[in-house]
Amino acid sequence: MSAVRRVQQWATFGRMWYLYDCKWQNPLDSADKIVPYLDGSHKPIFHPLNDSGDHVVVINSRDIAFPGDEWEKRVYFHHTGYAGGATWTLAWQLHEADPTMIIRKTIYNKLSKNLLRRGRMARLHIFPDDKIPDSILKNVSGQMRQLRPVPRRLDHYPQEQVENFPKIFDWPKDHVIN
Amino acid sequence: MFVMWFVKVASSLMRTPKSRTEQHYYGRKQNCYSVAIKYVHRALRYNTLARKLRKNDARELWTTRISAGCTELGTKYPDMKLMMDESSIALDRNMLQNLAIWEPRSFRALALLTKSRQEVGLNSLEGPSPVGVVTRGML
Repeated sequence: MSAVRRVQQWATFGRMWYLYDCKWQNPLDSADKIVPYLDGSHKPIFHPLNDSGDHVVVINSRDIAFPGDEWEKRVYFHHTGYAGGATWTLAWQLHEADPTMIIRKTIYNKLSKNLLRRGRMARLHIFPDDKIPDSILKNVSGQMRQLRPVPRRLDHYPQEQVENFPKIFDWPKDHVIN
Repeated sequence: MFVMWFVKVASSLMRTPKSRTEQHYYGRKQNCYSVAIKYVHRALRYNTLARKLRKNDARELWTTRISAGCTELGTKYPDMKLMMDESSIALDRNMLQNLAIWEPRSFRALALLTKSRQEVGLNSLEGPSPVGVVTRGML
């Protein structure tokens, strides 16, 4: 195989590791975006039995943002298998107990319900903050764009940039704003 | 008095040599004719029904592949279909997915055509009206 062909082969069939920052993102919409990457259905060479899925590393899962009153209303069902072992846990309670569970359950429920699901979930790596082990960070080869724009806080801008920003008008020094 | 219940059980061996259909079945379904024949008939019925399902599955796979290729190039599959209908480009889904895999530059040309079709021209009523023109919402 020539060098060009070898590069093309690696570029086509190499398994990518994508990074997704789900800070202030809707977990339901994020799952809609992540699932095709785990399946491999974002590639034209897709086949369900081809094992063409990629790895996705999800960071900042502690900072996900459900819309509206979902934190109070959404429930997660669990049954231990024993009699009387059914529990309905509210989203905020589950998130307090384990900050990676919500995004994991959302993606698990969105994947196709067949025997390939467990293997695809094994390629999903979720971290509650941005501390990633070096072994995984070395593999990351791409990043997925966030769905909702994350605005920058005013106190995170450097002081001189805030002061030097052009102003049309400013209050006089003895004016009381109240 | 002890009463025994007699149950009639199919125990006769296959009358024909082992054909392909029931060769890998479990237990008596493999060896006894009257048990196996029901499952063989079911398998043949599934075979005839699957002729249509195979075509549906293939079409679904082609659609997934084409929409994956479209998303990579910044368009969408429904938009591409619309562009092809309007421009009388008679490529079916099979051809399109082959182009997406084996002829990426041709597929990219189709995606660029789709995007150019969606551009709003100067004369169009769809986009924003030119600056400095007061219409009061009437245009």
